[in-house]
This record gives sequence, C-alpha cells and structure tokens, in this order.
Amino acid sequence: MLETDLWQMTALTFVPALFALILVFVPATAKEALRWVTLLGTAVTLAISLVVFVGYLDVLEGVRSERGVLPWHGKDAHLEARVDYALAGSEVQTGPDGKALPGSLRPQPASDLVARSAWIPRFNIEYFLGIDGISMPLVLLTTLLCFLSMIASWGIEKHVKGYCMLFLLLETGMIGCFLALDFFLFYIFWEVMLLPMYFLIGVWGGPRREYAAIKFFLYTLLGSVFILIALLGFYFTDVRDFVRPEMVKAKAVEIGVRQGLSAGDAEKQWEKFAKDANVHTFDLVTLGKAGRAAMRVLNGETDKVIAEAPSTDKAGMKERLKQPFFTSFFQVAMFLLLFIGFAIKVPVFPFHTWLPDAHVEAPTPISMLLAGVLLKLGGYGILRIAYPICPWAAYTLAWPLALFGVINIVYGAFAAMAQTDFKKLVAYSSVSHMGYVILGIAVWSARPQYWEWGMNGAMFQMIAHGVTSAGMFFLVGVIYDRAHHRDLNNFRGLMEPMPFYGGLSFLIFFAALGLPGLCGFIGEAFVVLAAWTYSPVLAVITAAAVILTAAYVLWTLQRVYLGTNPAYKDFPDMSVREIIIGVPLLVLAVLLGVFPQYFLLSWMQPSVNGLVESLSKLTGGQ
Amino acid sequence: MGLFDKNPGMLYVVATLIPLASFIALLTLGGVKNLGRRYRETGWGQSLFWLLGGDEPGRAGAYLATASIGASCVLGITGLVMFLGQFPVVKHDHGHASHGHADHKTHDDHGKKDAHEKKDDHGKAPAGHGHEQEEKKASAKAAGHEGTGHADAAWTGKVPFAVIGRMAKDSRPGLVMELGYRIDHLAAVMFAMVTFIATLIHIFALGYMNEETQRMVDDHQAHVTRRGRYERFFLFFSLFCFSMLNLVIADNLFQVFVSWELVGACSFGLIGFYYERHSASTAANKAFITNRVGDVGFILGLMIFWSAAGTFNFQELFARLRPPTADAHGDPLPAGFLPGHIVRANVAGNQATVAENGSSALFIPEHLHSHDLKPVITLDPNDKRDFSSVPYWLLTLAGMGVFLGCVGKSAQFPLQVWLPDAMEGPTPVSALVHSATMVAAGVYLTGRAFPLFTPECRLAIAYTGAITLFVAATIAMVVHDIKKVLAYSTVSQLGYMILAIGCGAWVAGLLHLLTHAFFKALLFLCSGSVIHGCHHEQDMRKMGGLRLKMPITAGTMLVGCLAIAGTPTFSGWYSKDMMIAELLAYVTAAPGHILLFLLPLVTAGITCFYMFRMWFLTFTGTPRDHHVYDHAHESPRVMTVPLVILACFSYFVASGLPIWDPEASYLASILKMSEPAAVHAEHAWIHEVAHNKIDYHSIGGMLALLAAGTGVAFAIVMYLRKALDPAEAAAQFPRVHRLLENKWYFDELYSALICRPSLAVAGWCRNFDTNVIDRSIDRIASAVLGLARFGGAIDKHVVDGTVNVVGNSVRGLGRSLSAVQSGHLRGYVLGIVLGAMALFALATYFVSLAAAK
Repeated sequence: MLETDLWQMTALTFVPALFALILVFVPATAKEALRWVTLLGTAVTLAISLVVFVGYLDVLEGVRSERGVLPWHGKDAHLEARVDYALAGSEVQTGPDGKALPGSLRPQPASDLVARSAWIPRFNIEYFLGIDGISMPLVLLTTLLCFLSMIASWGIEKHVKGYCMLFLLLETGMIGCFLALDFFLFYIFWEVMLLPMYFLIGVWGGPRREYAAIKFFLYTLLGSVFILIALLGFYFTDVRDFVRPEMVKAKAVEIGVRQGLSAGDAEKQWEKFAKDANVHTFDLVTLGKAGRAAMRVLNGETDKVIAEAPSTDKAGMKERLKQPFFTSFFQVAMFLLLFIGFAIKVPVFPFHTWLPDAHVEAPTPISMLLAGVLLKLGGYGILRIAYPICPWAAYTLAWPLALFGVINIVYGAFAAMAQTDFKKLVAYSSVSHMGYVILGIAVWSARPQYWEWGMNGAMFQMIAHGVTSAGMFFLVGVIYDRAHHRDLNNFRGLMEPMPFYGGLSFLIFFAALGLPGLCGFIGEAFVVLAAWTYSPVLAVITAAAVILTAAYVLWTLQRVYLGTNPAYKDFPDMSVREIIIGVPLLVLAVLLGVFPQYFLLSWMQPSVNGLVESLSKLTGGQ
Repeated sequence: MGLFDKNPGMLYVVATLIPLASFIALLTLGGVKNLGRRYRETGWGQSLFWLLGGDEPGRAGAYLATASIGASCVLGITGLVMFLGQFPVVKHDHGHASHGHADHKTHDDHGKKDAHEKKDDHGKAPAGHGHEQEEKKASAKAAGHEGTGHADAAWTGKVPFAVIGRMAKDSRPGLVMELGYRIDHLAAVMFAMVTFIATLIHIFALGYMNEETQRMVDDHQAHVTRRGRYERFFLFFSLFCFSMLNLVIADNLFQVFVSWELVGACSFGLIGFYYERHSASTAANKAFITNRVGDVGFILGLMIFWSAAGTFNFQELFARLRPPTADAHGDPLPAGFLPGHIVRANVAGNQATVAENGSSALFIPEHLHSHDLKPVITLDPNDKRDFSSVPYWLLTLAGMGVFLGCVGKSAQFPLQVWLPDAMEGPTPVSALVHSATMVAAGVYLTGRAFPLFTPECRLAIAYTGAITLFVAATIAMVVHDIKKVLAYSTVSQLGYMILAIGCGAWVAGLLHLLTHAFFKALLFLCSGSVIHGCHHEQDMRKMGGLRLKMPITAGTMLVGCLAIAGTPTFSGWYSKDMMIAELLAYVTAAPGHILLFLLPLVTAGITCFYMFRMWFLTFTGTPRDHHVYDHAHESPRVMTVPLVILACFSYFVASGLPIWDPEASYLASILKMSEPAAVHAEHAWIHEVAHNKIDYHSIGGMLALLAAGTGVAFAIVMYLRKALDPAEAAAQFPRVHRLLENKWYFDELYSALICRPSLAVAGWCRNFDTNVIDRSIDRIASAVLGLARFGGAIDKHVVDGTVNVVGNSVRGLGRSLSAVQSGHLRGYVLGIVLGAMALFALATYFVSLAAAK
C-alpha cells in the first residue's frame, strides 16, 4: 500500500538535499543558474510543506468529535493517539476477501501524517517521522523563511555553488529536526544542521567570522553532547512495559529463534524467553509514556501505574520500575542535560553569548535563518523531548525555568539598549523575545487552563518572533548594503530617501515591540496573563519589561530613521527583490496579529493543549 | 438594512471600521506611490505615477479620510438619535423641575427626529454571526430605584478573538478573549462627540496642513528642506479615529487595552510628524514610553481580573463583583449582600463567611439564587459560574493597576510629563488627540470601570486628580507658549474629571469630559489659527493686539475661555458647577478630605487667571513684535468655520431648560441613564448627609463663581489694565516662580531617577556579556588550548620520546653487538673455545641434574 504520508514527509525533508545533489552537476561559474536552481528547490519544498499542511488540516477534520469538546480537539488529534493507532492498525488482519477480519482494527488511513519504517533494527532505530500542531507551524515557517532567505542571498558573489549547497543541506537538517520522532534520527538531523551553519558563517561572514563560527559551533556542539548523553541514558532503559505487548512477544519469539527453536515452537513457548526480551528504543512517543509513568512513580503511584499498564508481566514490571530512569536523580539530571543542550540554542542566559557574535558576523540571509528558525529549535526540543520524557523534573524545576525566562526578557532588553551595532541590537532583542517562550512553557501551575494559555502563547511567540526577527535582520541587511556600516550613532534620516523602507521598518519594529494588531502582541500577552497564576512576582517583572522594549525599539528607530542626514539622501529605496522579501513578512505579521485564531491558534491548539493536558493530569489538574 | 434592524449596534461597528478602511486604503496607496517614485523618469511610469498624484503630495487621501470620518459622524449621530428613541431619557425627581426630552433643543445639527418604531421586546437573540442583542424597556427598571437600573439599556454584540481550551463554553468555563461592543447612553454620546469633533478637526486640518501639499517644504526648526507629506498626516489621523472609536464602544478590558496601545502608536506618529526635528521625535518617544509605564499597571489589572474572574468583559465583572438589588428570582438579598457594594468575606479553605470588613472580596455566580446566599458559602475557584473569592487587597491592586493605565493615558500626576512635550505635533493633533479624545480615554475608562474600584482605590483616584489639577494649573500660569498653556490646562481639567469620578460625582466628571472636549478642541483650533496666521509663531510674548487682525479667532477663543471659566449658561458652567457642588457635598460628609474641595476651588480661580492671561496677551494690548503683527492675517474659511461651529457647541452642548438652572443640563440627564448602580449605592449616603447640613448646590455654585471671578479679576488687573506688573509679581516669589517655570522639576527628577540609571544598567549588562561571560569562555578556550599544547608536548616528548629511546637503544645495542665481528681470527678462535667450554659446562650441569632426579 502506498504510504503517502511517509513519502510526503520524506520528500519534505530531503528535497532540498536532492537539489543540493543536482547542484553538483551545475558548473560553479554559472552563478545565476545555481541561484535559480536553489530557489526552485526552496520553492518546491515550500509547496510540499503547504501540501502537508493541507493534509494536516484534513487529519484535524477527521478527528472524532466528542461531546462538549470543540471540533478538532478530540483525543484523536494528539500525536500519541495517532502513533498508537498507527501501530495498532498496522496489524490489521485481512481475510481471504481482502477485507479486515472482524475484531481486528480498521485499516490505517494512508495519510495520518505519522510514518515509520525500520532503519537499523539491531538498535531499534527507526526512520520515524510525524507532524502535529507543534511542528507544523514551525515547518511552514522554516520553508517560507528558507525561500525568502534564498531570495535575499542573491547578493552573495563568492563560492556561490558551495553556499547554495550548504544552504540546502541546512534546510534539510532543520526540517528533519522538526519531523523526526525518533530521538536518534532527531540527533542526526540536529548535527546535520551544525556543519553547514559553521561554514556559512565562517566563509561568507563579516570580519570576525572565524571567531564567531567556531564559537557558535563549539557552543552548540557542547549542547549536543549533553543531548547525546541523555539520548544514551534513555536508550539503556528497558521500556518494554510501555510498548505494545505484541512487540514484547515478537522479541521473545526472536530470542527463541536465535536459540535454535523453530519459529512455531518459539511462538508457543515465548513466555520462556520473555524475561530476556528487553526493549530499548529511541522512540520519543514511547519514552514520553515512560516519562509520565516515572512522574507517577515519583509521586507515589507505583501500584496504579502497574495496574493500568497493558503488559501482563506485573511482577517484572515492579522490578523494572526500579530502574535508574524512574529515580528522581536521573530524571533531574537528564532534564538538566537536555534543557541546557536546548537552552544553548534558544538561547537562555547565560548561554547566549554566541548569538550576538554569530548574528553580527553572519551574512543577512543566514542571520534571518538563524534568528527565524534555529532559535526555535531550542524551544521545540524542550517541548518535544525534555518535557514529555522528564515531566517530574520539569515540574520540580518550573520556578527556576520561569526565572531564567524572565532574566532573558529583562537582560536581553537592557543589553539591547546599550548596543551601538544595529545587528547586535536586533540579536539581543531576539534573546529578550525568546525569554517569553521559556516563560510560557515553564508556568506549570495548578490551574491547567492558564498553563494552556502560556504554552500557546509560547508557541505563538515562536512563530511571531520568527517572522519579525527575520524581518528585522533583513531590514538591517538592506541598509548595510547601502551604507556599509551598522553604527547606530551614524545613521539618521533614512526616512526621507527611503520612505517605503522606513514605513516597512516601522511596522516590523512595532510588531517586535508588541503593538496590538501585529503578531508580537499575542504571544507576549498570553504569556504574561498566564504567568500571573503561576508567580505574581515574575509576572509583574515581565509586564514591566514592556517599558524597556518600547524604550530601546523607539530609540533605535529615532536614531536610524528620523532626523536628517544629507549624506544618505541619494540612497535608493528598496528594490523589487527586497520588496518581495519584506512585504510577505509584513503581511504575515499583520494577519497573525489581527486574526490569530483563524491563522494559527485554531490548528495549533489541539496538539499543544494535548501536551498540556497529558502533563497536567499528572499533578491533579483536569 | 435588515442587518441594522436586528442589530442596531452594528451601525456603530460599521462606523468604527470606516476610518480603518480609510487607513488601509491610504497606507496601500501611499506604499504604491512610494514604490512608483523610482520609475517616474520612464515613459509609461511617468503617466501612471501622475495618475497616483505624481510627485506632488496629493489631496485625495485627505479628502477620503475626512469623508470617512464624516460618514462615521453621520452614523454616530444617527445611532445616538436611534438609541435615544429606543431608550429615552427618564428624568429622576431630585427636587428639580423635570421636563420631557422632546422640548429640548437637541445638541446635534443633523438630528433626525423621524419617528422610529419602538421595537418589541425580543427575547432571544437571532442566531447569525454569534451576536446577541438585549433590548429592555427602560421604564421597566426605573420603578423603585433612584438613579439605578438604566445601565441595562444597551446594544451589545461580540465575536471571539482567541479561544484556547478543549471544552466548548457550555461544558466547562473556557477562557475566551473576545472583541465586542456595548452601546449605552454614555457610549452613544461619546461616539457622537468624538466623531463630530474629529470631523471638524479634519476639516480644519485640510486648511492648516496646507503647506504640506507643496512638493518641498522648508522646515525652519530643523533647517532642512523635505518632501511634503499631506496624506501621511491623514493616514495617522484615520488610524487614530478607528482606535479611539474602538475604545469607546469596547465592552471588555482587553479590547480597551488593544485600543489603548493603538492610540498610543498613532499619537507617537502624529507627535513625531515633523520627524526631522530631534525635539519632535524625542517628544514622541517620551509620550509612548510614559504611556507604557501606565500600561504596565493596566496589564497588572488585566492579569488579576483574568486569573480571578476568568473574564475581561465589563458587564460580567460588574455582575460578579457587585450584587444587584434582587436575585434571579426577584427575592431581596439577605444582609451582607448590599446591592451595588462589593461583598466582603473571610475565607478559610474553601469556606467564606460574609463579613463587613472581610479580607477577601467575593465573586458572585452569574445566576444569583437566594438559596445560595447563606452567611457561609462554599467556593470553587475553577468554575466561574460558582462563588469564588479574591483577596481584597488584590482587588484594590487590580483597580489601581487599571487606574495607573488611565494615569498614563490622561497625563495625570505622576505621568503628566509627556503631554506638554506632545505639543511638538501639529496643532490639529493637539486639538484632537491631546485634548478631546485620546487623553479623554483615561477618564472614560475610569468612568466605565467605576464598579471595579474599591473605596480605597477611589480615594487614591480622587487625590491623584486633586494633585494633578493643582500642579498643572500652577505651571500654566507662567508658560509663554500658547499651546503649552492649553496643554497644562488640559492636564488640569482632566484632573478635575478624575477627581470628580473618584469622589462619586460620576455624571459630573463625564459631563465635564464632554463639555471640555468641545471647548478645549475649540481653544486648540483657535491657537492653531493664531499660529497659522502669525506664520508659526507660538510665543505669546511676541503677540498682542491680534483681535483686530483676527476677529473671528479672537471671538471664538473668547467663547472658549468663558466656557472653561465656567461662565453661567456656557457649557462649562453646567459641568463645573456640578463638580464643585458634588465635591462640596463629599467634603461635607467626609470633612477629613477637605483638600479635595479646596484644591479644585482654588484651581478654578487659577484656571480663569491663566486662560484670560493667554487671551489678553494674545489678542489685546499693543503688539509686542511688529514683524509678527504686520504679517498676521485671519485664517481661511476652511479653518474658521469649524471654529464657529465649535464655539456654538461650547455654548449650547450642555444646555437645558430653565436656562438659569445649573442642574438642568440635558446632556447630564442622558449620562445619568448610564450611571452604574455602584455610584449611587456607594455615594448616596454623601448626599443624605450633605443635604441635611447645607445646600451644597447653591453654596458650591456661589463659591465656584467667586473663585472664577477672582481669577478673571487678577488677569484683568495684570494683563489688560496692566496695573500690576507680572514680572514684579514673579520677583516677589522668586523660588516659587522658578519652581513653576521648571515645571516642578519633574523632568529632571525622572531623568535622574529612571533614565540615567536605566542606561547605566544597560551598559552593565552589555559589559557583563563582553567582560565576564565572553572572557571566561575565552579563558576556558585558552585553557583548553593550553591543555592541548601540553598534550601535544607529552605526545612529542614522552610518548614519542619513549619510542625514540627504545629505537635508539636497540640501534645502540645492535651497533655494539656488531663490534663482535672484528675480523680477527684469534678472536673467533677464542670465541669458539669459550663457547665450547660453556656448552660443555652447561651440558654437564644438566646431566648431573637429570642424574640427581
């Protein structure tokens, strides 16, 4: 049977790499051809992502409605439910007439946007991809920003072939990270992103590009090492109680066969080998189930966990629940490792100093991608991996997490105020805005309704910040192309020669400032409102930070666009190429700000709320 | 038109959205035109560009903006008439002559008194776009209440803006953010006022901003020649009108906040209109940032209400905070549940015991049943349809937070510093934004959110207003810029309104808001006319005797000054008289707060003084600067006609019959219909007490007139008759004068306390990154490099060294062994002999060993 979703998601991930391969055969001197082929590659990927998006909306439409529950919000919408259903459905038994036998499950729909196939069976590593409401908007953001960044890359003149190939590889890595549901696969894509980025900054960057590139690389690699330790820690846990019993049985049968029995005999006597049927997995969904069980164990509900588990080997399960994975030390240690690993990407103070250097030295399109997408990977990792697998630690450490979010907001704003380099200022504003993301994720309060607002606010802020920060870096690039410097004290009066650019800049910067009606407001408002239920002190500090944000943004706008400066009066306004990049970002900023429910929240929520509910159930919330 | 029959409030929604459409049109067209500028050299581009207005700033956009706000005005006035037709004014007998509203001269020129069919009392709302509509006959509720119960007369509707949560609203209380409108008498009147004044100011601006229609404009302050930007002005104006109207019709705090920020952004754009001037852009920044300080308080209030009540909607909050007079069955409420008062209780666990000075405030269920109202109540914080509580101090804090937002927006103490600087913007901006509408939004919200404020909060509100009105008036006495006088006057008058509302004089405060809007807009437009006529001269010291050159301006400005002074029968008289009387009543009933009466009384005199000082300096006496005087001219008709219209309104807008009765204002009786029940509930006792002691109406009125007269007398003596020299008077009180001239040193204080420390902290953060974090990272990096070098050295010397030593020793051994091959035969023979002997010895030894075994 043609598994369309496997092919769709694989295409989405690997089409950029395919185009990179095509570029090998394009001569290095044909710069225009190289650029156009790359642009075509990003455009095709954007188109595929839109097709997948429509498919995702179809999935939501197909969710069974439940009484008293809004449409699209039924339990079927959640990634875990879809994964479980996919596994169960793959074992449907068909009779001689081709129809499913009575009692077996109904066949799996071809497009539920969850697909797995075995890759390295020895280590139980699967090629496991899936999309839900958390990754879908991020994937769309990635493909769109890659497309726009490629248009912005038209000014790159040296080693165009190398640039384009690395660009496409980077896109593959980013999309793969968002789609991977197997931790090993995720890690591979995570590493795949690092190397192209290193070269893109180090070869095509500004004066201090080598320093910035190596700083970025080593910093992120350090984080990756932490993630790797956690990855291995999870792998070496026996999670057979959290997979389908059929899988344990199949493994026991396999052991029997290896010990010399025939297949039929092994099947009959599989219980003899069940003791050795350890299940080790990288599957994030299974690990999530184990993590939630760990939290219940640490809350003292071990008996309930054993009673509710599907496995039949209850005595063995009791032993297995004593593994290190289910101890508080392990949970906290793994969570910290994962969190620090992802926090370096977000970036969270004090692991943020690679960001200003990397952003300042990177060329404009790479800065757009760095700020627009890579930072979101940190937040995504926390949401997809750290929280589901180590919820107990997340709950215990919620206050320090929220505190770090608030420190980000305030510190980033203050540091931005003191900058004289335009790009560095925008980089620090990114630090500040990502603080809202961390805060929104962290406010695990006793009232889950409000945590839902925080989580949705954090997700929304990720998308909105992707749009506005990419816009801001692009705008800085526009003026850098003309003035060849970024010194805030030497700009002035850019509004007069470049009124379209000035107007666009004001709108994008006001979106970053959080003006209602533009996208930056929604995320900030939701997070701030949710934070009060969790910690009034942090909420008040966060609310007060809007003053700082307004201060540095307006001061910057005044220094750059207002006033008079005869030196710049001959600057050309934005070219057609620049308008094609800037206007879609502006349109998106306005649409997300005015119709947040229709354009993002409605289809993002079922997954985010599902995550919140699955976790808050563990602390007694409804 | 069927839409409007079923949902008459949609009229207001359309009227609000028309300026938004105008804004979008202007923005898009402006963008396209700017894009086209580059192509005007080529053939086809030149013709297309000319179609879009060419390089000259066009006028079409301005006309579009004016037409759109004019349309909104027509709709607003139509709506007001329809609304009054449906919910007519019901006079409350307070011992004054009552009269039907049909006898009144309505306050709108376009009033259509066509017969409007009264609607039947529909029960349920028609399904459709999710809008609901309440229609209640106003008279049904009037019986049995004094001044209460009309607050239900309204048109409402809402749409969800953001819904988060799985449950549909019925199964479990979901948290929903909505955008909605609620038109009651106050909103209808405010809407009509805002649109009407905005239309007049648009028309005025068509003439005032004329120089922006030139291709290149000389900016004398910034010493630069720049392109004219006529349409950009109206772009911002349109967005501002939309935001302001959205604020007026809003039915929930979230929507008010959205509009709050948007009007702030428009104000930013308009103050910084002449952005080549550093002073203008700095003033714009100051305005926005100071407003943001207030917004922090607003957000605090939003957070608390959201968490405690799960809603932002005004009506829902009021209903949950203050019980009505009877419960859902019509049975009276038991003791402890005073209608209109906040119910206080002592909470232990999830049980609340109703108590008069309890530490918590109760949130009452949406459907109140008397059998739920026991002295001890069970709380459920997760279901807002049931009882829940919030600590009383938190409720007070929430109110203070929302009020802080109003303080920022209405430029009250301590956030008043931005409004005088905002005079950098063109005068129509000052007239519309910074006198009649945006700054009025703070007062409007204070009035709207009145039931949310606890008594402690209201006291703070009152004192804030009192301090502001005094401080601002004193500064206005010594400023020389004609617009700054009016700016400080605005701050002071807003203080009056805030004070009045804080003391429970709800109708008085909002009446003053409406009358003030008219005469302050008039005064600003007149000053604009003066500035325009004097070719951008704003310093009053250079004016004088202008009434001969600009008679219409002088006359209308005199009307404005008389109105603000509270001259009998002018509109300002009604509102000021009412305020002073109510304040006297308040202070009589609560003598500890005597300052709340003395300050406004004294300031009434100061107000008259500085207003007439301004008028005399500008229009009377001998001209002090002949260059200015010679070139002065009256403004064109497009500017003077709005002045005359506004002057008429400044006289007639609050009028009522009989003409000598200050309590008879028709406008006030309309506003009274919207008065929240809480006002009467909490402040009725004041009227009781005061009535028994003194006739506060007459005494208050007389004192007000006395103060006004004193002020005018001083102004006449010093500036008309020139009997007293102002410079000498200033010299008598040098320190006071210096304090006033330096605006009470607020700017210096804030710069030292806030601005400079913030920049210092910013520098620390930046340096922390570079010097601490990066330096430690670099040190770690060098340490690692050092370790690597050390490792390399070990590799080179130790490991490789060992290998080399082994190699060398083997070679040495080999070399020494090769010395055995000496070539000497004797040596070889000796070797053979020795070897044979050794072998023999060894063999003997092993044989003997074997034998021994």
